[in-house]
Amino acid sequence: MNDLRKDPDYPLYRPILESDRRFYWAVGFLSVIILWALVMYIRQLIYGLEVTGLNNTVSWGFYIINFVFFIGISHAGTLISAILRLSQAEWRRPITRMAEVITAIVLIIGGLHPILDLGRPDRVLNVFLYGRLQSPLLWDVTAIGLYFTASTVYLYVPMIPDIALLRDRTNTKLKWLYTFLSWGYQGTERQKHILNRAITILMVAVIPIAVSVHTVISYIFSMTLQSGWHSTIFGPYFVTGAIFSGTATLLVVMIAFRKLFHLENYLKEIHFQYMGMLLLVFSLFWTYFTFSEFLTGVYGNEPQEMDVILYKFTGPYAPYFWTMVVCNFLIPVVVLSFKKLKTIPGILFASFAVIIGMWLERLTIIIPSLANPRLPIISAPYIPSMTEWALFAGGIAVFCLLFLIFAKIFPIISIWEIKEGREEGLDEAKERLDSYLPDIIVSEEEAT
Amino acid sequence: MANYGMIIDLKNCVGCAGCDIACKTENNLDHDVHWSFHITETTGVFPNVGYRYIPKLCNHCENASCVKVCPTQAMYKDENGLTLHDPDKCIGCRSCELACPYNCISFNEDVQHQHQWQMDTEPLLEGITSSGKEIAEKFDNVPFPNYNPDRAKTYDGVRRKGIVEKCTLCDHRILDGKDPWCVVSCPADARIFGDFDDPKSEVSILLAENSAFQLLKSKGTKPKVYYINEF
Repeated sequence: MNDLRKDPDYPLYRPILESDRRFYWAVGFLSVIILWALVMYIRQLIYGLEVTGLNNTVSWGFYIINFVFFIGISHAGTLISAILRLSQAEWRRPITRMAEVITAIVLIIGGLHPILDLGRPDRVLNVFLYGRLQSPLLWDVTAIGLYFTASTVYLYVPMIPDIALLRDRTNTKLKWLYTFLSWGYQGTERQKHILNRAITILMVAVIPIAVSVHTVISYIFSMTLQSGWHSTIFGPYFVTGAIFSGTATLLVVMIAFRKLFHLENYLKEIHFQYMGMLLLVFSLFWTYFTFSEFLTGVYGNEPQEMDVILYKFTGPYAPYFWTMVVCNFLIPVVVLSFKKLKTIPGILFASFAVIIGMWLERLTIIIPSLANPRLPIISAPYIPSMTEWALFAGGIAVFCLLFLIFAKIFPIISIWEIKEGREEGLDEAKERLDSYLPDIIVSEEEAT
Repeated sequence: MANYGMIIDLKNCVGCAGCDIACKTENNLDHDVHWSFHITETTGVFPNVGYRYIPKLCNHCENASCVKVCPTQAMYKDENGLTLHDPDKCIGCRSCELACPYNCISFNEDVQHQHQWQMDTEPLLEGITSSGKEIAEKFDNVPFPNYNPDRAKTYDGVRRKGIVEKCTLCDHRILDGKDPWCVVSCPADARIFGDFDDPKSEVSILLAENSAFQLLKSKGTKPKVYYINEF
């Protein structure tokens, strides 16, 4: 124990070993919110979907918005971590673990959201019993299931050496768990080799799976004949939006843990500068997609398409739509383009703006199309009920709670990867850089 | 084996919404659930105005988008060309509701199978009339005062909550060789039901003789409810 305190990476062990009163306060507070959501959901089970604001024209509301939103956030993790690992970006080391945890947790929450929306959740297994291959919803279940499996394994495998470290070097009540989860990892050459192989295979496999998931989610919408949804751009548009909101969430999580666990030494200014760059790029991508989507609609000027577009531009959803544009385009671009504003508080502000903006984007995609039926039918306005708000708050609370519990049990920054970076990364990076540069050819004359 | 559909003669239609009411009583529909409905459109500025009244029901499309999106095969095409719904398989995900371009599918979210007035506790005139609730209690809170047992032949007489439901073209009546109830109860003979596969049926002849239109034909769903003689 004492030698652990002298370890330069002791700050990474500290949250696991030392208890903090604030942790229990947070768990208590979040549990209250979750309990509230649970009560509201049980109430919904008893009274049916009548307790929501859904009606026959707007038949999908908050639950599906949050489903798309949460699954979108899950993209941050695995995809960004896989890309950074694949491109051997050395600055990834303190970030990958957090990113992967986001994915695993948010996928559980997001994946459960469609069940909240079901009229008969007890029959959910019918999707497997009588599944219809042509139905986009079935594609979704398959894709999310696969993604969840892949990203959980991808989170777990790089964690094995850290769990082994915890098993050997700490003596907490959870030793049995570390012993079980570390699978007898001793860090021998052969084990290291197999581990690195496994990580390489996983990170390559996880990228197409991640892209496919959000594409398929967009298909639930774009395969229908609804105006505003039936668009070829939806697949890549959703993937871009997903990575965009995911990057923002990752930044918020990074800043939060940096402050809470005093990880200033690990998550340095430079990490935020780089991640901020990624956020800026995706903000521009998102703007480009949004512009293309609406220009096509406005130029074509089809009456039913225009009904939906005007509903967003000037109609009842205008406040949400324009807030979304400000949050997703103006704020991140302004904040992240100027060096003076691109500080950690500035990035935090931009990230929060993006998260809110992307939620509003899901809202303005889903509701206006449903509120404008193609036949002249008067639709009742959709006003989310307390149940829907409660379950939304519950979803966020579950996210925070699971994250806190994870950080209490496992190191939130990969210890062995940091060590590896110190021991081998430097030489490797030098070697790599040398291989890029032109060789210095010394002529014989000069040599003599 | 048949290919059932309907022709609505708008020249005859008087816009009484009798079909909507007939459907409600025949099929024991809850409030907020409409299998047969109508759309209206008013155009122009007084005194040059136009008014359209178009009865609407499930089109039993040949290329039904609700069938395609259903994840559990609960929505299906039967051998008579009807689009039907299996209440045992439906999980209530409501994808069909969004997929249908005609908004012809309703979700049965009602709990007590009661109409609004049955829950109303305030009497219309204080001290003179009874409240809706009192009246309902007098009648033992029967969910459907005019409950039609025939409906139970093919579907639950009162359908379950938490799943969707839609027009079945009165498949329970078709079984007995009768026309759907909206057709029978139309006071103006505006609705004509029949088999489009039979070239001698009334609907086939009317379709051949008239220039008919379908709702949102451009969506490619091939609806089987045709409208003729709009004026």
